[in-house]
Amino acid sequence: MTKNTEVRVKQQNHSDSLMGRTDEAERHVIPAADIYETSDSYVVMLDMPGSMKENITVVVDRSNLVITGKVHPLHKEQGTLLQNEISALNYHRGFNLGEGIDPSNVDARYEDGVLTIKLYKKEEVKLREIRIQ
Amino acid sequence: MSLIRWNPTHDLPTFPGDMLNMQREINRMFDSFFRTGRHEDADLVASTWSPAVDIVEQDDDYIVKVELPGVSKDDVKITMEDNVLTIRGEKSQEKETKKGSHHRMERSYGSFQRAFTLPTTVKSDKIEASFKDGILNVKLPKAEEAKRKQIEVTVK
Repeated sequence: MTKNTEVRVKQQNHSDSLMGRTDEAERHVIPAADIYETSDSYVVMLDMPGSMKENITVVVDRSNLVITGKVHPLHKEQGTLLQNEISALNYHRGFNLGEGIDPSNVDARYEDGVLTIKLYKKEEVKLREIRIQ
Repeated sequence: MSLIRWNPTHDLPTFPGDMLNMQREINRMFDSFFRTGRHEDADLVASTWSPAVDIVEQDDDYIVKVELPGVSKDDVKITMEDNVLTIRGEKSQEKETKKGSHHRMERSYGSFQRAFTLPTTVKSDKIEASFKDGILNVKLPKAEEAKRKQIEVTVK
């Protein structure tokens, strides 16, 4: 059985500003992130437990990466909450992208509560081994 | 009665309590004190973390939810002993991340443990657990005698 975990990544034109968002002021959780670099890409991993793949958006433009995730209602049960540590707020986080990332070549997948975004480097900045002649 | 984080010294029986039980408690204390294993006393080890937990009490059961993103179900162990529910495990770093160079590391890795004393007895053989989107869901049905019952008293 293969799980479909691909998250849709939206490419945004630079003119389509992210600044005009009105829901920015909404209370949210900033998910913890790991970022590491490989020879051909940058990989961002975010802890976003409780989201659904369908409710995660990954928006990339030339200089920004914006991630939002809506969590599904945690407690469908009727009962008394004896302990409450899980915030149940939606996730929101943005990163500035440096030069050298190709915004049209981004993969994202969501699995076991972790969102993994792979941003491929532009061809010209990729680490290449040079053969000695 | 409220839920408190399990602490071995809180659970000591009062004298004259059940001597067998007391002996077991003492053994457990010594056991965890002298053991070098990381799991046995998670609070004392630096490389541990505590996942967030929600507990809901319903008429017939307790639901315990634990945020465990990136933890596989094989790395979680749930135990029930003397009304103490313990959820422990280990979150290991994803294999592929070890190859690259890190720019940022905010996510928690290592072993984790949470333990709770439940207010009432539960059917320990009927505990169910499932994992979805990084949240562990444990359902603990209450024992028959612990269920809330409404009894009507007729006034003569």
